[in-house]
Amino acid sequence: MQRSKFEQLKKRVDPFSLLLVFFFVLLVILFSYLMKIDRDLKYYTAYHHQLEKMRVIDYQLDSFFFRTFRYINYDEMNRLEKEFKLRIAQLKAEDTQEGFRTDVHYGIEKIAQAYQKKEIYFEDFKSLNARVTNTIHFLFDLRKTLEQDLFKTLQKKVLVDNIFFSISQTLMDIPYDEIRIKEELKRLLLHEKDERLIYFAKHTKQFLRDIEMMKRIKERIKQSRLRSEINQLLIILEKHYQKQMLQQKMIALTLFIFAFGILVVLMIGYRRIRKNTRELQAFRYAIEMSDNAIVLTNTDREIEYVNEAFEQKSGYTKEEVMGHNPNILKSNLMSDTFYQHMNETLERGEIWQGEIINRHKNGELVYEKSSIIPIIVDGELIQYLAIKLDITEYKRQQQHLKLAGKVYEMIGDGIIVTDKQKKIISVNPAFIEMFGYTEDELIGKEPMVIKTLQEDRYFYRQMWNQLLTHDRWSGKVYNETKSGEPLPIWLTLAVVRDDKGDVENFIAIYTNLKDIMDIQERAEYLAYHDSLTGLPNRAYFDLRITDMMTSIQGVDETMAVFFIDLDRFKVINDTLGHAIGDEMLVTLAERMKHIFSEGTLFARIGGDEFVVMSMLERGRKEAEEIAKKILTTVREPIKVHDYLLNTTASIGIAIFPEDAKEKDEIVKYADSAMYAAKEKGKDNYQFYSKQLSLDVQQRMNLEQELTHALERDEFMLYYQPQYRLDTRKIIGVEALIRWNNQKLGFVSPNDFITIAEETGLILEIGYYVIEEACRAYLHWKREGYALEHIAINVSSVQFRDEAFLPTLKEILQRTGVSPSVIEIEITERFIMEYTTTNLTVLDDLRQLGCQISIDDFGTGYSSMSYMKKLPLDTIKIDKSFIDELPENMHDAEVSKAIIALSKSLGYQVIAEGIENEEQEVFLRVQGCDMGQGYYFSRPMDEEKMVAFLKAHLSK
Amino acid sequence: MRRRGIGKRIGWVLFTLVICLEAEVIKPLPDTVEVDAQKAALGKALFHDTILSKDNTVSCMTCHDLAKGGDDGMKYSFGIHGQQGGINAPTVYNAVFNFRQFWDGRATDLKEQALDPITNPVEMGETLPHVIQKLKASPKYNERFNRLYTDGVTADNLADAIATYEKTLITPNSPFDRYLKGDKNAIFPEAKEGYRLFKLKGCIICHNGMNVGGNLYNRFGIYTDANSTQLGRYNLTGRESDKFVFKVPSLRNVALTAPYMHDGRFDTLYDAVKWMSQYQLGRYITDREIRQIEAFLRSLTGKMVK
Repeated sequence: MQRSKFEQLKKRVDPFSLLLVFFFVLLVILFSYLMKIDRDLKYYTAYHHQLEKMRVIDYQLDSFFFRTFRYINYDEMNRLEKEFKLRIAQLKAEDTQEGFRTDVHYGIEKIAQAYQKKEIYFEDFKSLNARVTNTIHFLFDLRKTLEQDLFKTLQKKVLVDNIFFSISQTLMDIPYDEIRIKEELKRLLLHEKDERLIYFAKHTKQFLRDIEMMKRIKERIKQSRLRSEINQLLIILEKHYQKQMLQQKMIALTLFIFAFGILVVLMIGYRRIRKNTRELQAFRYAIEMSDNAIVLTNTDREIEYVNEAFEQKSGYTKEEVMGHNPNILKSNLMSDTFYQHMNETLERGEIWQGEIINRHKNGELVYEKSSIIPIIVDGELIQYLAIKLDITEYKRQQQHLKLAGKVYEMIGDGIIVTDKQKKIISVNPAFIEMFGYTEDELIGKEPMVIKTLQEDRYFYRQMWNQLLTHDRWSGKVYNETKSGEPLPIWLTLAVVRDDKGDVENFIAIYTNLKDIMDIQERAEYLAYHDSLTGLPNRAYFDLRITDMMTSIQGVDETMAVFFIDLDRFKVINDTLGHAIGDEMLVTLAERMKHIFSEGTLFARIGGDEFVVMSMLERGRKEAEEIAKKILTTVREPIKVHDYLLNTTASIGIAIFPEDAKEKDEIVKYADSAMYAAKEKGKDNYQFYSKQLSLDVQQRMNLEQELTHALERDEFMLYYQPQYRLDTRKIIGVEALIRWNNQKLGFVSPNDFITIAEETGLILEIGYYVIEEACRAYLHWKREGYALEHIAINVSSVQFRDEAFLPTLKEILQRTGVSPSVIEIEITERFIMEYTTTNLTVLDDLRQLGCQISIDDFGTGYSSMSYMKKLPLDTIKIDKSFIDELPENMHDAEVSKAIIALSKSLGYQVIAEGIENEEQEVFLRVQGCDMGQGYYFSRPMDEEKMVAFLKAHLSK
Repeated sequence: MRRRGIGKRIGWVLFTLVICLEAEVIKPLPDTVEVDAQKAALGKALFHDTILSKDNTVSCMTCHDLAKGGDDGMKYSFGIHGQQGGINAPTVYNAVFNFRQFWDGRATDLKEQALDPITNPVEMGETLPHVIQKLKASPKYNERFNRLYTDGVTADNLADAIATYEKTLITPNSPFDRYLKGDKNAIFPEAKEGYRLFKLKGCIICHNGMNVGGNLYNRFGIYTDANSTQLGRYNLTGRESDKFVFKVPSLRNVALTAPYMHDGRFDTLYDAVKWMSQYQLGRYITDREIRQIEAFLRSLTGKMVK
């Protein structure tokens, strides 16, 4: 453990810092060494100074010896001695402190020893000098005294003088004769009693002894090695100093060179580091700006750094995550083993890579592709670096794709994908299963390899048109499998576009409709086909016209719509029965089918109404040809059972898109053209023309005026008497509406009733008519002319109005007119148009007491057997049958048949439009009950009617 | 010719001698000595304290009574257990100006001297470790030592404190010093005459300088054997010539420091001066001269420390 820690420490110390530390250590050493040199210099100076001083003191002390025999103030001498000793002590103290070299130490020791020896001599000298000085002092003093009274004998005086002279000589360092002085002293003391002379002699003796001693001491002092020791030490010191200085210089220089060398190395290192730092800065910038989130943690996994991308992707700011473990992002969706594996990898010092699901601060899941890299420098782990790429979007897409892929593989529908050149690049298993081709047979081919069965070029044109404009097309197609089995397919096509909007791929989805087709196709067939002829019906026509119009939209092609109506088919039906009529229709349809080219639609949309839709390549001329062909075909006699039937057709043609662009419009125009053809005398064809449009304009004006007609009170009723043919007695009137418009003048009911019906104005007008008729009836009644009935025309539109019956009742109640007076006239068309449910209205009217008559009988196609079931009272023969009576045999036969039939059914019969006597006679003969017409009376207004009745009755 | 030369030379020698004698060879004492006052105060306390002796009976003061001229006035002093020493106790006054301490000069200064009496068996009879232990145990001393010395109570510091105090024990402004400084009436005419004789008789040759002596060694009994029992400097050097050689004592306050000589053989100045003249100077001296010198010596008594 300890060892590893040491290893760690060793690793942590990089050579650069080591070098730096070394450099500083070296500087410190150099500095302290320079200080040491300085100190050594100071010590040397101090030593030198001390020694010099000591030498001076030694000289000073020695100078005392020159003052031998003189009074000396020993304080001064003591002071010098003390100073000298002090200096030795100081030297020694410094010596021990500095651990001076042995020779210096030894030198000081020797000086101390030499001084100690010398000092003894100093002390001896002091004592001796004091004594000698005292002797000299005393002897001079004594001699002064002796001269005056002592010397009684010359001999003694000479002796004293001689001795004294010898002493003086001694003082002057002149050698004296010791033996002689001793001899003289002996002679002086001979027989001498004088104490002073004895003292003299004693002192002299002492003096001589002391002088000798002094000599010896001086000799000893001269021999003292003190000075030479001091000099010696100075020389040693100097030498030592010189040597040391040289050595120190060398060492200092070496250190300096060494330091300089390290400095150079450090400089190089610094340059390298600066380069690295720049690189690091660049890296750091790259890291900061990186799209990848980057996280640095320390070895304890505490976050030390994150970049901006991290902040954006995690939602945490730098401050929030700093020092935290990155597991704050944990989503808890990853298993423990996952993290365990990750940690194991990292602990091995290996790079870990993988995908982690983390959590954004706002709780959203973030998919990250992470690399965690243990940063190992010099064998030691210092940080972890995590680079995380946000793959959430990618992941979602991938999941989506995976799902889509799964769907692609598993779906029962066949899917092919092509490139923009429509070459197949992919097919799914279901497609292969469905069509039996192998993948190799399909890839690179166009989808057209799948054979289509029924669709024509218009279909495909329309399909592509739709696909390219809406990027999507769906429709039913019939394909063929490889083995030739037909397959009904619900095909969905889609375009895949790239960012620029250019087509990238096409996708075709084939839904096999085969299974449901058996049911659906049947249902569809029934829904879209006429059960009688097997031709497409109105519904199918409506469907297909839209498709066909769409397919040629924007293409320079035209299409013709032919509205075909058989002339007088109703008559055949009525006279020969439905079975014959139906069979004729079947035969006709079968015959006509063959004259149309493929792609032409031929449908039956009503009883005897057919529609043909055909593409025109050559315009109107082609349409004309087709129309002629139709007419020719229809004209050919048709053999049904034993009958050879002749029929013709009226054809209206409208051209798309010339005449109209709307489906309803074009059919209407064709219809209008057909009526125009009828008007032109039937058995012909008419193109829709501008004139027809102009008629429409006229009609518009009419419609406009009609709206305001009631309020402007522009309507009025005319009444035409109805009379018994046998008695010519007036039994009733038919109310006929007249419109006198301020702008248009008198407008025929034929012109405005249809419009009133279409606009719904007929309702108001209808009530006006009923009310006005009732009022007129009562007026005439008041005048004394009670009519049996008054006939009022009611449009089929009025019956559709739920309020019709209650309003009628209300008017009758209000006016007090008996319902039995009212005869409701309905057209034969009404009966043809409406189902039995509508006919309850007739029952209700009958219940009320009203009579019901059928107007214009013979123009429609109603069969007598059918009418039998209706609650009718009267049948009115249409004017067209009367006009050419009695000359026209056909009309006469029809009229006879109608009258006979009506009679047999118990209906009253009335003929309208009787204009001459022959007609009246013919009808009366035939048994027709009633009549009306110009021959008897024109229609007239209410007032004139009073006069007419008056005149009639008066006859 | 030759004789004349010699005569001339004798004349020069005498001349210088006279000059020398005429010059003032005694220097007045300084008024004060610069010392560390606190250390001196500590030293004073120690100087007066018997704690330094083995049985707490003897202090420095016991033998160096400042009120009695710096000694105890006895021939030989008594140490612990009534033991008597073998040499006369010298005065502590002005000891700082002596060139050596003790009669035989075995200590070069006061600090060297200070511990000697403590460990001397017949004086205080202590051991240094023990006395230090005692001082350390004493809160009073321990605290003061610690405050003044970085290493607290040690033998060296003890010696230093005592020595520092002793340095302050000087006696300036004696009548004679005042005389030297210019006050011609500071001493009696007899004393002036005594001073003249002091120089003339040669006393001055040994007793000179600031301390009037105390700056050299000399033999005790030069012209006549003094019959001394102590060997003096011989104890230190072992040289035959150093037998009976003692430090020449200072004569300041000499009137107060009887008995005299290292063995206290004289009780009076008169006897001491007379003896000195005979034994040391080898001279005869008259009574009158002795009295005059005595008068001079009395003028050396300075101002005592309280």
